[in-house]
Amino acid sequence: MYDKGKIITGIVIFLGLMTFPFWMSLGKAVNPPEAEIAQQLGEECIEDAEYMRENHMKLLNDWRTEVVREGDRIYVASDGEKYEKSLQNTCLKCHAKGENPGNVKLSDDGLESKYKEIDLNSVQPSAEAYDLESSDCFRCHEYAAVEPDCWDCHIVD
Amino acid sequence: MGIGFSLLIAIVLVLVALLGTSIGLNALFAVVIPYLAFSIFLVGFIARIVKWGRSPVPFRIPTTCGQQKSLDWIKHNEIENPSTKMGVVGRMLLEILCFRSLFRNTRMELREGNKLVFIWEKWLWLAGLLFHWSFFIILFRHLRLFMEPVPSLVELVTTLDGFFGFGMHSLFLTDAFILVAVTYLFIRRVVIPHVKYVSLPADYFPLFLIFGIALSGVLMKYVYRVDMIAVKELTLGLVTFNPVVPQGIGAIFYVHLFLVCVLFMYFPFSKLMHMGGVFLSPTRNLPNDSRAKRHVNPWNYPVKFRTYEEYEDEFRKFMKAMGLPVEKDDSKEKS
Ligand code: HEM
Repeated sequence: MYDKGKIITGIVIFLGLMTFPFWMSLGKAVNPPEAEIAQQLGEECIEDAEYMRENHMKLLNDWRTEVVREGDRIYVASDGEKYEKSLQNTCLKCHAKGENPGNVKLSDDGLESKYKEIDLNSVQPSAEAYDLESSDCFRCHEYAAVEPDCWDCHIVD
Repeated sequence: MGIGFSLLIAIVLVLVALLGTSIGLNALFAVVIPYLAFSIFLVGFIARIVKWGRSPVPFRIPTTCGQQKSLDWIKHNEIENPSTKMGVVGRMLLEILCFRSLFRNTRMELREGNKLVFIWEKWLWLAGLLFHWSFFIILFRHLRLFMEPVPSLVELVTTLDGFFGFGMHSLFLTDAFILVAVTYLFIRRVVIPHVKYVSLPADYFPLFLIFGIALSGVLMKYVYRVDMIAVKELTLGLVTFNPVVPQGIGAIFYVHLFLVCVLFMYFPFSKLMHMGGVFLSPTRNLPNDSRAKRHVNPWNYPVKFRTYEEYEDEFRKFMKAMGLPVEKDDSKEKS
């Protein structure tokens, strides 16, 4: 072989780069995250788990459009159950620890009535606000390295 | 014909993945084929490089595009016509990162009967550069599937690439670029008659394969969602040599993965080896110093030769007898 030194150096660099993820995970075992908080509550999600795992981002995106642009705040799940289209009042109730920081109270029956009474100035974060860092959302998104931009608008701090 | 044949193979590959996973061969497609493909890629790639390394490069090939180093008062172009190793490094970096040579591409045409004209043509360079960089960045972003924790550089690149968004989704610029660029590269091959004339299935097939990979990836991200946590469980299983086949990953993922595996297996045997080959281009990676240094042909071996003096010493007697001229006439010396 001609230029042995250079060719072998090149091959070693090539091998190193290509197998980099293998070296970095030597001896590591990672358990994939689960929606632990919700699972401990034993609650069923609004749609079945597989659908939620694959499509929650689409669902949330649709909710955003429907709520913000069309004022439609009620989601009718495929089993006929009705839910409020709200991160704080629906998703995080099961997927995060802590209290709903906005004092948005769900009335027992009518889902729509309460919005009329919210005084935005009175929506104060409380000490027991949802702990987002430990929420199911965060842990899973950390693992998948996808940054959710919910909190760009939904400030809970 | 080449086009149809290549397209047919690409379609068959997609069908194979769909069929295979529909009859439950998930472990084959999720574990066995990926390991096989990656091994073939590594071994085949290295074997090809070693094979190329065995070919001697006898002398410098000065296909230069700048003034060679000569007298002090003649301006020397160190990058386009390097005289030192550093200059070569500069030329190689420009070549590999910016496709310098392709930037010189021109279109040649006969105009007004028989006038040969060269026309400014940068589209091939632009599409080529966009395609390769997009491919690289996409592959680099995919490291998030193969590493835990995900390196912050991968996250940064992902954020920058996904800067533009629609709704709450990020739209990766590289996704759009790769699809557009590959489409352009294909259309160019088909539309320009003399490029079509020199195009073979080996040119069309990689284009279809890469288009299929990009399209299935894009569909998976933006349309037919899959369970990403399960995907990462699978990919981390592969890199930690603890393969698992999680349930319920959509078929589109297996199509994507299988096409990628075929690309990896095909790589060492195809023109895609230019990825390694570009580093070994003798016209780019050698300083043009033939006038300054002596380069001995590496396949020269010691030849047993005989000088004319030795020859004449042996036959002088006979040569003189025949009246042939000799260089050293010992009879004269004696007299
Ligand atoms: C030659 C290599 C590959 C190319 C060119 C490629 C290309 C793409 C493209 C263009 C996308 C669209 C979304 C994005 O850009 O992130 C994508 C998504 C995806 N690819 Fe690949 N891919 C390759 C290898 C792989 C491998 C080896 C795997 C896993 C074993 C994989 C798994 C995925 C997954 C799961 C997605 C969906 C990501 C999401 O939904 O966010 N790809 N791919």
